[in-house]
Amino acid sequence: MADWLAAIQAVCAPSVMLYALIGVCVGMLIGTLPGLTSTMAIAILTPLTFWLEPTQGFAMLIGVYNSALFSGGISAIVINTPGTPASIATTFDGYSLTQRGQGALALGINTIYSVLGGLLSTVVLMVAAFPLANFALRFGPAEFSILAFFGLTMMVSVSQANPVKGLLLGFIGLMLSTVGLDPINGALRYTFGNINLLDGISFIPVMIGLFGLGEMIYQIFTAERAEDGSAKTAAAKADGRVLPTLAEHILMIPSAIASAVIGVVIGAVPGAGGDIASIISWDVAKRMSKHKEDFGKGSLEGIGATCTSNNASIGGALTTALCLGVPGDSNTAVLLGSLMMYGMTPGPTLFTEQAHFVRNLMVLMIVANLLILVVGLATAKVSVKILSIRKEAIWMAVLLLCVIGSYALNKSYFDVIVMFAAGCLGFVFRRMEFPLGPLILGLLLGDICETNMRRAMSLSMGDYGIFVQSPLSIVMLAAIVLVLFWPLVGGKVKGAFKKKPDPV
Amino acid sequence: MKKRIFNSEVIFGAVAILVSVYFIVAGQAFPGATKNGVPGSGYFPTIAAGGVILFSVLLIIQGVRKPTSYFKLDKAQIQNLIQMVEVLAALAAFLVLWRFIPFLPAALLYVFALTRILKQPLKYSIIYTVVVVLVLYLIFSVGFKVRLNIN
Repeated sequence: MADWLAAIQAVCAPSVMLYALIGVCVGMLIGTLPGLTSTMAIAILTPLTFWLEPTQGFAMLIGVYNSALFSGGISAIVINTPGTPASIATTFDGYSLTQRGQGALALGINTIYSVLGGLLSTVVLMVAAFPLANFALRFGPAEFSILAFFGLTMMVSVSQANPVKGLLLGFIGLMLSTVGLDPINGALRYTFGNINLLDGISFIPVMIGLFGLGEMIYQIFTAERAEDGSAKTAAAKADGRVLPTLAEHILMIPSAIASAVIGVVIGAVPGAGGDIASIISWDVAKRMSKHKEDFGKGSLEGIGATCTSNNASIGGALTTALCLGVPGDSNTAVLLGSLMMYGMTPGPTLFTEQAHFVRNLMVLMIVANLLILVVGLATAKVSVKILSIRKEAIWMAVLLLCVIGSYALNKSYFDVIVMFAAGCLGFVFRRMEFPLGPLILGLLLGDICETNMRRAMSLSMGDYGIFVQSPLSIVMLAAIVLVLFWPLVGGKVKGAFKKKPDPV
Repeated sequence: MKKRIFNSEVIFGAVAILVSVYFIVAGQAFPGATKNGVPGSGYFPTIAAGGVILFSVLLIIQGVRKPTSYFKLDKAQIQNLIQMVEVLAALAAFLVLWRFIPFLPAALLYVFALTRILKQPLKYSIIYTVVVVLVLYLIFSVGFKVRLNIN
């Protein structure tokens, strides 16, 4: 208990609260604007946190993460365009409410139920994370190396339409992670005599390039233009009351609680995030409802469910990422990269070596959600004005921030070049419909995977049997094999089922 | 309809295979496995490159069987493409300029060029450029004490 009180005390410091508030506001700005993702928000803000204490820095990043996911619902509700992929399901009922003149109420529900989802998932994180980390402490090098592969393959298979492209980028990430000094014996690998590559390809510039510069040039390339050649902005307004009545809350609460559970569970699965969670929750809420006919036409239960599960997925995703060191999606991958920037190693040892920081992070989740509640409700009607900000203003500021951010960490001009190259590649990947997350994940997990794999081989004196000694390893290996070969056999299996005639 | 064999997926897959083959070949020159079976420095790069080759082959097969034009442009996109190339060229020019002159004037020139490329009104461009560059400069250079001048 004393540890938790110390965490509350640390997080309630004015400077930490200020950084959390900045994070919430920036997250709201970026999350509301369609096309700008929460991952991009975290990526471009990470350089700003280099010089802060870990708790201060993560106050900003956790604020951005939670706020960007919540505010993705604002544009979904007001202009029928999800601000982030996780708020796709919010459009189902949110926009109908706006058309009925209840846009402000939808925004109020978005705020309240996103916060509810975020808080409930934080409780799960607080309760489940330490026991899970204790369990994971029993993992040996073999289990950890398989776990890293498992995380990579799961992420690719669950979330993307084209697993081959995801897996290809994931393996390219693993391959690039081998550049630099060998982590076991210090041999130089693929450095071409360049001293800038001794420490490998720096994760932060790649992240900023892929999600910052790459995203910006993709936005410029795909922008719809007004007659004067400038990018179109949306005209939007939200009318009516903001707060739901007690009767409306009573109607929404049961499906919201179910949605929170769904959000946490799905968020915890590597690869499945808020987008999948909110679509499933919407469907479950519809089945639970006595007013099924209202779904898709402005159902309060529908929007409450999607908003709750959307933010509830964060707690689940953080549980897996922090306890096992396996990020489930691009957001947590980038967050773990930021954690490593502070010299901390995600995984079970984080809970023993940096237990106080883990508790601070959990309390920060609560603080971020409470700030979202205040800021979200206070600005519900005004927040739609964000949609009328000139897109060019955001693009230009982010373009400069990408350069400064990639340079600032190591004061390295080479890192800026890496960022530029990653940005150009990021555009090509986006255009060719490659998912970017697996590349970052491969780069991030490569070192963990290689080190543990070779340590395991060292323990077994070169015997590969060590990888199939524990039941957990066998289950994960089976899952990896299934995921890897599903692209080859999946279509045929589905085809066989389709061809099967109906029984008479 | 005639299929385009050399589409972007095939080209990307082929390039990825070439790079992977280099990783594997170069990896053979690294310190090898120890006598007691501990893998050498080339072990993991070979596994990763093997994965890249496997999925590149699958991508090439996909590309041949179902060619997709990801870079085919309509009229509106050509205008966007020109603007995107100009933005990247401005960034490249800024990176070169930054090596020779202090950050502040280079960044002012860069952001002002961006405002012109993105067709912003002149008065807005001037105010925006000064405000954004100064704010970011103050945050990093004064606030975080990052020396932004390269030379």
